[in-house]
Amino acid sequence: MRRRAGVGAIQRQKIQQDKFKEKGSEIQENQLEQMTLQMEKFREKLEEFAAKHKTEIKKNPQFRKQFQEMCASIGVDPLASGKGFWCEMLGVGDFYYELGVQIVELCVATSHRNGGVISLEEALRRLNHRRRQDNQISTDDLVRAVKKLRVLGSGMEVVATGSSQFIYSIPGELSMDHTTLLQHAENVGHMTVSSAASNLGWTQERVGRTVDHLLRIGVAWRDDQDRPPTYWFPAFFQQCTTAE
Amino acid sequence: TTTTTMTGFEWPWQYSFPPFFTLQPNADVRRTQLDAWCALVVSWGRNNNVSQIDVTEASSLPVFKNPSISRSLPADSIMVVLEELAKRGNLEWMDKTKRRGYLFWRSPAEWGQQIYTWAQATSHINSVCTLYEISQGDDTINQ
Repeated sequence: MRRRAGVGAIQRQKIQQDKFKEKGSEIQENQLEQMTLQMEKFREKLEEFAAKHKTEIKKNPQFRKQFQEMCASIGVDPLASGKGFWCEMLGVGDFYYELGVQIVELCVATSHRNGGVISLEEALRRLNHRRRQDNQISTDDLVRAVKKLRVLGSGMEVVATGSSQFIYSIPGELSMDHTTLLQHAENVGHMTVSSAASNLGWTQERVGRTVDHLLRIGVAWRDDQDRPPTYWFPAFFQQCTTAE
Repeated sequence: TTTTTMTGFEWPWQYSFPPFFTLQPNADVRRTQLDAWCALVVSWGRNNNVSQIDVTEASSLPVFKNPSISRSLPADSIMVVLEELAKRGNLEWMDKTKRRGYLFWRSPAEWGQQIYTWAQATSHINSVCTLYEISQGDDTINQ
C-alpha cells in the first residue's frame, strides 16, 4: 500500500508551498514596484503642475482649493512639512503659516469682546479687508489654516454650530454641552435659563452650569434688567460682529 | 450699523447691547466692560462739551441710558464707572463728598504726553514756557 503521508511526502509538500509563496511574493513585489513607479510619475507630474501654476495657486482661492483636493486624493499634503519641495517651491506652507498668524492676531484682538468665539464669516471679512485685492482668501483657506494651527497645539479650532462655522480660540476645551448651547444661542440670539432648558430638553441646573462657564470666559453676558435674567452673546450680536 | 445722533456722535456697539447696562459678574469681563464704559463717557463728554458730572443727576444723562432698548445703567453702577474714571485720571472729585466731579476728556497723564510730544517737536525741551506760549504761541497754531 502506498502511503501518502511520510517524511518524504511532507518535505515535498513544504517545498511546493515554498515555491508558491516565492512566486506569490515575486508577483506582489512586481506589483508593488509597478505601483511605486506609477506614483512617482504621478508625483512628478503633480510637482510640474504645481510649479507651472504657482502664481495661480497663490492668488486664486478657488484654484488653490482644487489643487489641495487633488493633492489630498493621492495622499500628498503640501502643508505637512516645513521643508521639501512643496514648501520651498510653492511657498504654500508659508502662505498658510502667515494666514495662521493673522488668524491668531485677529482672535486675540477681538476676544475681549466676543470671549474667543468668532464666526468664520466675520473672520473672513475682516482678514480680506486687510489684504490686497489680488491676495484674497476663502473660507476653505481659513479652515485649513486653523486645522494647521490646531495640529501645532494652539488651542484653536473650527467648530460648526448650527448653520455657521466658528473659530474657537478659547483656552481649555469646550464640552459638547457648551457647543450645543452655543448652537442654540446662535439661533435665538438671547435666552433665559428656562427657555434654553425647554428648547434643549435639559434641566435648568444643566443650563445654569453651562451658562456659568460661558459667562466666566466672556462668551456670554448677563442682562439683569430683564425678568428673568437673559443671556446674550457678543459673538452672535450683529452690531458687535460688524463693529470697527 | 452704528447709531448716530444729530451731532454725528457714533455710539459704540456696546451701547446697543442690553447686558452692557448690567455690571458683569466675572472680574475679567467686567474689566473690559469698564474699559468700554470709560471710553464711552469720555468721548461722549468731549462730543457734548460736558466737563462736570453731578452724581445725583447722572442717571438722566443720555450716555447712561439707551431708551431704544429700554436699558439704563443703575445708580450704583454709574458710581462704579465714575470711580473707575477717577482712578484713570479722567475724573476729579470736587470734594470728599464725591457729589460732583470734573470730567477730563484727556487725563493729566495724557496731557503730559501731548505736551511732551509738542515740546520735542518744537525744541522746547529743558526750556521754560508760559501757559500762554504753549496754548497760543506760534508753534501751537496747528495743535
